[in-house]
Amino acid sequence: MEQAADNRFVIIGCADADKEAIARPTITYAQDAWRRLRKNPIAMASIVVLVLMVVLVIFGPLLCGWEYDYMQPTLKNLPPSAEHWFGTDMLGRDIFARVCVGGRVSLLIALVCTCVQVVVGCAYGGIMAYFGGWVDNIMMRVIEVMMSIPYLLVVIIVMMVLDNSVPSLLVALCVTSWCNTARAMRGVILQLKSSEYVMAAQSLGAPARRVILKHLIPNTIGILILNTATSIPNYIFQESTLGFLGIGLQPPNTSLGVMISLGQAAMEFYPLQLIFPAAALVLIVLAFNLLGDGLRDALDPKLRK
Amino acid sequence: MKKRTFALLLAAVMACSALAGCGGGNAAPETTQPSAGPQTPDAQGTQLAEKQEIQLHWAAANFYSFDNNANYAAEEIQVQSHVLEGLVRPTTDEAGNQILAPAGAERWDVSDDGLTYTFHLREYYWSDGVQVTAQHFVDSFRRIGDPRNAFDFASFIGDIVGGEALYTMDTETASDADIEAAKEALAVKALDDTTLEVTLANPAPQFLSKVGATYLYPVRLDVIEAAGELYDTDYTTHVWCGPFVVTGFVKDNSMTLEKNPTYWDAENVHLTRVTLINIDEVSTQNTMFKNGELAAIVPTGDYVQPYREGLAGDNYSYVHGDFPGVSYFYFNRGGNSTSGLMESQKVRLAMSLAINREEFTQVVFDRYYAAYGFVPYGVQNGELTFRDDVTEPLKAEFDAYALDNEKLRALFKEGMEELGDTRELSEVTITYICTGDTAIKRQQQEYWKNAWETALGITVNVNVLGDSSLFREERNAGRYDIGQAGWNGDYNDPMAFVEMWSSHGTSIRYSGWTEERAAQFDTFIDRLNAEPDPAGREKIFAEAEQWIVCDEVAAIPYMYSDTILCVSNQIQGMTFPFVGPRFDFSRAYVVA
Amino acid sequence: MLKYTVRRFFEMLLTIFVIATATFFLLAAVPGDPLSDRADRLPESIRENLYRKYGLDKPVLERYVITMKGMLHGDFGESVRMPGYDIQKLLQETLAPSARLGLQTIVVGVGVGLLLGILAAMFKGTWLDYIIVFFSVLMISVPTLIFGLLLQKYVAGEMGLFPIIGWPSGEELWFGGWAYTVLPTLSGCFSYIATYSRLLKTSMLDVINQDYVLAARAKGLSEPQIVRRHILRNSFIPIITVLPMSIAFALTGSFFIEKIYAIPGFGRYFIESVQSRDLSIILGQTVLMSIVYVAVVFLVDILYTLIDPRIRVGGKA
Repeated sequence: MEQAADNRFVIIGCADADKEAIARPTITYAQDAWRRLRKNPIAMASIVVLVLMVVLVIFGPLLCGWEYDYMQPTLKNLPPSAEHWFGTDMLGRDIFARVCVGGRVSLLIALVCTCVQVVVGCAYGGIMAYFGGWVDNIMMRVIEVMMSIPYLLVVIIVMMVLDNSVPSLLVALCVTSWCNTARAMRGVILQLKSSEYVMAAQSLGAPARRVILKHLIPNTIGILILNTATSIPNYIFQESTLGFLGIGLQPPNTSLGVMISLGQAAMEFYPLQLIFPAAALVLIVLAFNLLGDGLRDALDPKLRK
Repeated sequence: MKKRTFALLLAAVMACSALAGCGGGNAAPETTQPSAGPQTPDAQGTQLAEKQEIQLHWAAANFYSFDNNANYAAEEIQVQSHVLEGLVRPTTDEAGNQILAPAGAERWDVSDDGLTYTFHLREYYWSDGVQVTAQHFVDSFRRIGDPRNAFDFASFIGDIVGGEALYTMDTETASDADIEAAKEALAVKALDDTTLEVTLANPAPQFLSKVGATYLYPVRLDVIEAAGELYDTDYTTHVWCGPFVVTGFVKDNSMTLEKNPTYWDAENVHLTRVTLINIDEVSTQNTMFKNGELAAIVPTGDYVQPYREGLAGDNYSYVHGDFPGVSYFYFNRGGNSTSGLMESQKVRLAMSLAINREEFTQVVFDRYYAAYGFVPYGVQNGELTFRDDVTEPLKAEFDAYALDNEKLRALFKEGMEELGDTRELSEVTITYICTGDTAIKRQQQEYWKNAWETALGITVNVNVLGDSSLFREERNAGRYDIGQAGWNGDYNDPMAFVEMWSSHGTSIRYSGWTEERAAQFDTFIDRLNAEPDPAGREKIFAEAEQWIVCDEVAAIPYMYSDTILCVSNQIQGMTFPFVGPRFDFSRAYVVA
Repeated sequence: MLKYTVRRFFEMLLTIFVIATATFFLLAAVPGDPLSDRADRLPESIRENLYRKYGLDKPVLERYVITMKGMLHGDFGESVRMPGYDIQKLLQETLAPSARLGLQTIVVGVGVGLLLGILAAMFKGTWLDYIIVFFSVLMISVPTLIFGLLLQKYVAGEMGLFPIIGWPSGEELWFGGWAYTVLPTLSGCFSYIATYSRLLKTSMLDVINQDYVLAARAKGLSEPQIVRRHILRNSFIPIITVLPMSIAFALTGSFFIEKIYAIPGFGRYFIESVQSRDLSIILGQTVLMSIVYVAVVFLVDILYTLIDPRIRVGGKA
């Protein structure tokens, strides 16, 4: 028998075995979004501004050494000086301290409202999408009713029935705002429920917990982050609108909206009393809006280069 | 359980009737009196501008109706006083004194007992050519008193025989025939076309000032019937008899008045067109006044000082006069006050003496006058100006305590002990209710809280209600100790400021201002009704005021209103009646 | 399609009934009534007669039945605050100025917004993109009230380029008197510019990555042709679905702009009537708004099917 010459095969070792391996580190969705966000100069600038503002509203009153509600009747309507960095208002209170405290209240209101909106919206939207059928139908009608009552009407009525304190302001602002979040969540979850990869996961026997944790949540988080980033400036704005209408917070509480409406009354002769709180408001809102814009681009996988 | 609260309008009740200009003495040093009354342009030798048209700011949202009987807001009076002509017209004479000038009535006689007024009407016409007759006044008086109409100022006929019986009828129980009979019984008679006779129930010298109010100007029943439901809102259904006629109206926005060529005194009316327009934003008003687009402006808040000091240019004159308004605090006397302390006169007095009125008016408003009494400057009783003759009752007490915290706290504590309350001052919390939708109100609240806490060592809980309706609910439920109010006189007589505490008054409904307390106060009113002589009345008024602010401490008055206006130098002859329309431009003119 | 429309109609009626009921009881829950301001200074007997005149002395449920019966006949009742006015008369007198302001604002705002959106998408990542994004966002970050007041003070007051306040009326109600409308339009249009430029930009970037665009490019179509024929057409779909809602809300007026420029519009009543608890006007407005809302949602559904063949009305989700 002829021994076949076995030179058709050469041992070449296993050095090339990892050629098929992914050379670059795998990056998650979040890492990718962060990477793209970092490349957006406007968004990064917004983050810096926001961090500065947050530091300022927390530590500002300590820095300047004035209480925001300390009145000095003899020192009213002063221009900025070394003593009072932004000057004083019509009751002789330090405007810098007031802007800081007002900004703190405005930011706090916006953050709390956004949290409520996201939590309630997610739960409501999730239930609608999960159960479907008549539950979905009824819950959608409720949303429809809530959304077609003029927003301001609801807010004013809530403020009247409760009182002019911070908690009732929170309730008033939140009472209909979650509707949009709920609708958006419902849409996304319905879409995901019928998507191929969820079906694949389910047919591979993945438990519901895994489907929710690995597929539903990561795929909705982008929308939620966006929702948050655009809601915050909205709330700040709405609070200031209520301030203009005189149905917002009452003294001694203050907020940027209240300060702007006070400053606007004095704008002809003491324009700085308007400009400082207005500038703070515009800065915060602008930074959040621009950050939201950047996030939208960063989180949208379709915009990947 | 019926809880009661007394007190009045928070936002100034713009319910001024009529009567003369802003004359009279005044305590405030920098007061300049408004320009003297109407002067004909020729007398001054000034040149009239070709275009006799002006524009004024006017809070249009407060104009509700063209029906002068139904009116109740200052903005309505501003219009009606220029398009209708009543019996008398409140204005100022050439020296700037307030007078009631003959208008629709050429002259009038008062009987010796002060009970019968006979008005002799001049020959003047409505814009449709019908003569204004005494019957039109009779119709007006009866109509405003008709309880089915429920007109706000129905009580203005209360001085007349049969008046009170008419407007207090209960529409639930009284039949239409009863009401018609009561209207017939009202002692207002047209003796002939030009003679009107009114019989009063008691000599009430303030009656003449009431007929100067637009509510009692004449009406045409045939016009009302023809207009039907459009009478309130559609000016084209109306006829006019005043110096101007309405030629345009845009709801909540603007009103156009044009000269009435058939007005009996048309030769002294120079403006051909007046536009009243609603400008919500103060800064917009300011911009327009600066650009010469507004004839006058009423500066408020932070705008007062720059206008007073001339920072806003030099093309205007600054007018500072009296206004019949008082701002005060009242107490929850219903026995259910939050702190339980408001029944003690000493506690109330301590709170009244603990506030520095001078500093308050200076710091918060930079205008107005500190009030140590209840009747404001400029209010007249016949020929006498009350505040010129009667010193403010609270002044002496205030000077005695001189804001000494120790003495004030001792007084407060003493009052507490009388009620058997042994708490420390630091444990006492007083609830102060108010509304607060404007910057200026917020400042006030913070000021008062601070002032009482510093002086008395107590805690003041400020409960700011969202709007005046909420405020009333809270007040009527008695969940407070002290509340803030303002009262503007409807007519020019001290009676307008003391009557509210009587059982006829409006305070009776609120807080613990009980029937018994009101009845106690009624003795002053009874004495006043029996006393036609101004000097005698003045004495009784002084006693009544002493009782309100010192003996009983029914209220803590803290501020009298004033009026501040800036008028463009282009406009001459404009007057500013004390209790009538804010601007009387009927005899004004534009100089070249 | 017909079945769908009929079902929608009945759902709308039900929705409106629920909304009217909810509004009524919400208002009933608010302490205070429309007369309390006035009645406070009146003697007791006049006060009682006044309440009786407006039927406010009756219990809540009885008032609810009366109100609902009236609504069935399209009668919302007479305003308590404004004698002689009901919602119909109010709309008749005040809607036109608001509608014109709204239309002008929409035309300018959406027009400029779309233009900027296209530019931002085509020059994505360049300085032009950033400038457009920055300024459109800056404009919506300034409260309308402040922006309007500043425009008024400097452009109208100091420079005298336009009238400070006012609005065309009479024959010029819809056309003419343009000078009066410039500043109000400008004050109001920025929110639309920002919204629509961002919306179109996102949608265009979405479309640019689609396969059919790649195919068109592969076929050798010129770049302007691709943009015009493929990208723009498809990226307008989301715009068209949002636009009806914007128009519906713009037509009913803007509170702050009307306030600043003394425009006799409808916007002010949204807030004033609530604050004065003027039930008949509030109910009228609410029902009107919900009809508009439901109708617009319906319209958008129809529009969708017309524009986008992938969507069919009435199908199950």
